[in-house]
Amino acid sequence: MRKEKKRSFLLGASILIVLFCFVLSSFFYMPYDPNQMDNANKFAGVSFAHWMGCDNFGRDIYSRILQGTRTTFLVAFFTIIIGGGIGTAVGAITGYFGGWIDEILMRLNDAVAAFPNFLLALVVISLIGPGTFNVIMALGIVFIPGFARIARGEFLRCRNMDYVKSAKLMGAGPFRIIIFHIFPNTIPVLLSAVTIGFNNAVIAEAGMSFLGIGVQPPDASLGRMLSEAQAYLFSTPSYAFFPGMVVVLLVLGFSLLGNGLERKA
Amino acid sequence: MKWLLKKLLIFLFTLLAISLLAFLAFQMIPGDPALSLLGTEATPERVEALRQKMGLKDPILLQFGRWLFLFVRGDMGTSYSYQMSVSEMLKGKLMITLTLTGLSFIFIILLSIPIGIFGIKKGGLINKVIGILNQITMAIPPFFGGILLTYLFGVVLRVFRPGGFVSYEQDVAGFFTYLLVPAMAIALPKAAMTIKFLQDSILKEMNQDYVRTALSRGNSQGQVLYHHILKNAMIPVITFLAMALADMVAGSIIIEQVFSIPGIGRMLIASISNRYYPVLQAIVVLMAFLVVGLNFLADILYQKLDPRMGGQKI
Repeated sequence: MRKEKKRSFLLGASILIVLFCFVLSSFFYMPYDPNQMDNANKFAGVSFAHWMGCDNFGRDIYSRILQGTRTTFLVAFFTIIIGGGIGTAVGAITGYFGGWIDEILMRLNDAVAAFPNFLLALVVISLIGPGTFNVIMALGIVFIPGFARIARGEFLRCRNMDYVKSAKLMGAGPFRIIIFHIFPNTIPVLLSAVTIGFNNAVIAEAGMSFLGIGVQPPDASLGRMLSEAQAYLFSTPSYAFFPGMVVVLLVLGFSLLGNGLERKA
Repeated sequence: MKWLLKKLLIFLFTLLAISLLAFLAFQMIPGDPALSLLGTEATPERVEALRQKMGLKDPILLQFGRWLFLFVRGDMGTSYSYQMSVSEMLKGKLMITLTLTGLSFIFIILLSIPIGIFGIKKGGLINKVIGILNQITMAIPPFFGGILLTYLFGVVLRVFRPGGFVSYEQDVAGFFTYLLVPAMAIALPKAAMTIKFLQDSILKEMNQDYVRTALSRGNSQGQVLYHHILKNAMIPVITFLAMALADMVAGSIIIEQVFSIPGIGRMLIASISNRYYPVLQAIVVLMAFLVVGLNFLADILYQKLDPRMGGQKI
């Protein structure tokens, strides 16, 4: 079992590192301007010049995928910063102090958690409007309850442990205990929550952009490319294949990484 | 029976809270329905009169109470943009979405339970291959899965025509056949998750004492698997499936877009893009009721199925 976890972790990490290197390289060398249209190259096939071909406007698919993956990483990263940051803070405080605030917040949490994330994000988007920044806000808000629940469980588990008691005896204040004593012990659990969060954020961002309410044109995004490619599936299947495969690799990478990091069992 | 009553009360309270939240959320949006209905050229007096008539000047809780009362009775208001009653617009679409979800659910059960059990029985290399395929299937988001299936059935096998949706009234057989491929796209990743969940559940049960006892009493492996282990292992799976059903309601939103199926999901997206708030509000609350209802059922089912939960006592 241990060996399997290690293998899963390594495989997931290598997939993500390779993808990340491609994205990093795009900051130094992007073969074409991702929004550059070129009538002569409409639906150009796979070649040395355009090694994933061109789309319906003659834009280089490889460059657009690079830009789209950048956006995906960006959205996922800030979503986790917002959702994970606020969620962990809320969970830490309610878990450590308990009491009636904890009771109310957790009841509220249960009600929200019963809801599919995607539907909830759509509701937020319908209130604040589409766009890349709004997708980050919507997903960030939607991810708060999940992180809060996990963090709360961990802080609840740790608050009566001996090291916390001795820290209290030594005169440490509650916030010092939460941040410097308990928090480092919750990192392994939170880390696997973060990888799952990344996973969900990638799927949600691609899904929303696919529906046309995420990243707005002309900016490239993997989901948008897929929805545009769908119309040309019969003539140029490679247009849909490449961005789709990148989404699959991203999701696969994060889920393998998450499996490897999971601590229980 | 007391626990059921308690659960029911919590359930009703959740519905009330959700509808209140949804109502308030849509109240926060700037804009005056009376003004947008009459146009910007209307005199302030006329706008004021219409606001009075529409009840927009009443206290917010009274407005909510009125709206909820009408909603439960099936009157979901009027779309200002379409000048048409919302429930009229949603009736047929809800049927399509529910059929799609139902079909995908059948797919999930037909795929996951036999494959999951088969893998456990064979074990070894075969189950490893199933595990790897599972991991990959789980990573394919439904919209890309939908595109891949369109390619497979439309281009390679030539048995499916994308965009060829026919309504139920026109052609019953055509309606169901068209929905098969989208249903499969929703079902595949969920089926993969169910297989993993089922196998984990079975493996956990296999280490229990009662399994060793049953085996030592001379039962065959198969007997123990079907009569002893599965009975226990299925309980969490059923709860998982009920939760998956709620998730699939949300998943159908994207799939309807991929296969241009005129269901609730497409309506939702169109309403978001065009800011048809009354329609949006109705769909959100309707979907919320559906999801919470399914979760409620899952909860009840779990308590009923597992006698150890002491369903009577809670």
